[in-house]
Amino acid sequence: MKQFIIILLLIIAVSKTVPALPSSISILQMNYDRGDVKVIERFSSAGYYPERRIQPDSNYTIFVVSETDEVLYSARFSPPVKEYLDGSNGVKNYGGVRFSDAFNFSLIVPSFYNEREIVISEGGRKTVFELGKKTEGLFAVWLVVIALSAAVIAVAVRKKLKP
Amino acid sequence: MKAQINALPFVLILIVLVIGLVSFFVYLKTSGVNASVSSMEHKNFIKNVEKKVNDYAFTKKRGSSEKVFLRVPNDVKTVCFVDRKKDIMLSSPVLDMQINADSSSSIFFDPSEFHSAGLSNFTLKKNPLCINAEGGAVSLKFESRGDSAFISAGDEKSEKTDECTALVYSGDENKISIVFLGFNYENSAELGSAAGVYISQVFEKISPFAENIKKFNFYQSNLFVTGCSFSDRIKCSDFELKRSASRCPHDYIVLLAKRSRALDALSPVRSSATSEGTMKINTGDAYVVVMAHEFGHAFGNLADEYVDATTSSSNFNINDMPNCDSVGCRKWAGVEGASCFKKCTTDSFYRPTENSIMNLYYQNNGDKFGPVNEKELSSRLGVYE
Repeated sequence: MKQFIIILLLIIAVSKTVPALPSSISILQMNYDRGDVKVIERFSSAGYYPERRIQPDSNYTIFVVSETDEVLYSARFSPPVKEYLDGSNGVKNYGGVRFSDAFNFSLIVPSFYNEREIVISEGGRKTVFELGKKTEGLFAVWLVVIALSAAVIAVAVRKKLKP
Repeated sequence: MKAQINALPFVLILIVLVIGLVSFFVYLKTSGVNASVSSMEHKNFIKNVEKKVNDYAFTKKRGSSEKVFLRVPNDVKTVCFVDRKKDIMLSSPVLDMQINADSSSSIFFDPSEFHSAGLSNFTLKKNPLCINAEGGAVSLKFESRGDSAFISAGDEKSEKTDECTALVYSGDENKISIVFLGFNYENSAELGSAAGVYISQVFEKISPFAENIKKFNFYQSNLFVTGCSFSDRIKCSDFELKRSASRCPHDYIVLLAKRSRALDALSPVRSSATSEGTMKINTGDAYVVVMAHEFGHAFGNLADEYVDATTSSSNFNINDMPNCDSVGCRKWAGVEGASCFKKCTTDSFYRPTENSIMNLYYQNNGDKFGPVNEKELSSRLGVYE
């Protein structure tokens, strides 16, 4: 685990100067509903996120925030409300623009070892998605807690039942 | 008697918990034994490869070869070899991360819990070369090349397909990376050929992309997209598209949805683009220039210069459309070769040229963006080097 964190730190440090290197990423499943945007689910992986060198003129901004409230990453984004559709039969076009007011979409952002939450900001509004802690190794702890609780209950019941 | 019956469930729970704890303890001990067996097999594998490489680099007669199965720990899924003396191509993000983080190693394992190792005096069929393990063994072929051992897969089927292939690579920094994804494709080679057509017929041919082609990198994700469907358009899960795209560097995503031209003539399907940077291209469309039209939307935020009867003007803000304007066309006043023609997305807006790629791209002058669109695209291309 320690080795993984060191490798991750190295890669994050290098990523700032060489953008084509892969890193730890979050693929976010998001929902847009009449202007409201929220994160539904996060999928973690190793991979690439877009550099977003050209950012849209949009009110929506995504922030990845650390445990110490530091902004680790931010980018403006535009939910794909408008989709251009295009086809032709060689004589005329059959296209147009399709507008949607409720749909799911996804964004890829970098992931950090000390990230705590993802914040979506739009104008004055904010929605927060807490990034879950890893549950590795917690199984054994829970098992001990349950066993101890059960033992305490059993002893208490036995005492109560004694004449 | 009644009191004894009430206590029984608690005693049973306690027994179950004790059994659970004992099983967990046994599991921990057993996994410890398995871990030490794995560690031994891992070390042995590295030693065996080193021995074979040295044999075929220095001892064996030039041209002699041997196929061997080498035992690896059961948990190892893939073994990858990297020749540090040669250019290393993209393979998969996890391996690329390992290669960059550990610059002294040449053998890498998936999962990475198995430590990488150094190796020299070898050359590879491709760089990196990844072989999938099967039944706790990898099949390798060693061949003597005089002063080095040439390593390839013992069985070609066990060679792991790269998750990402660089189709055209112009460099690392400040480039526009476009990733091609595939739906309905049989294999990576077929997708690569299809992507090649759009690169050569659109990006390498049409201005202002052609003169800026060194600003582009083109990649292909070999993690194929599934679950798309054709109706009047191409419908896919955006999450699936992003998951596939994440295998390669990307700023813009192009899904190539394979469809036959004959079928498309009978039941046409529209290509599409969002200004957020995702394009879906129907390969059954007879006009490959549709790719340039969609990239105009996605990269340049350009609007359609044709009018579709179903499109309502109330949804559009003229300030968001660099190539449409109100009467007088002041937006592009002074741009050489630009004029003011009625109809641009809607009946009430005006466009700069009679025809362009953003209009009837299959008719006269439909293979050029025109001066206003080219100016807008060029200013965005100026962000890249």
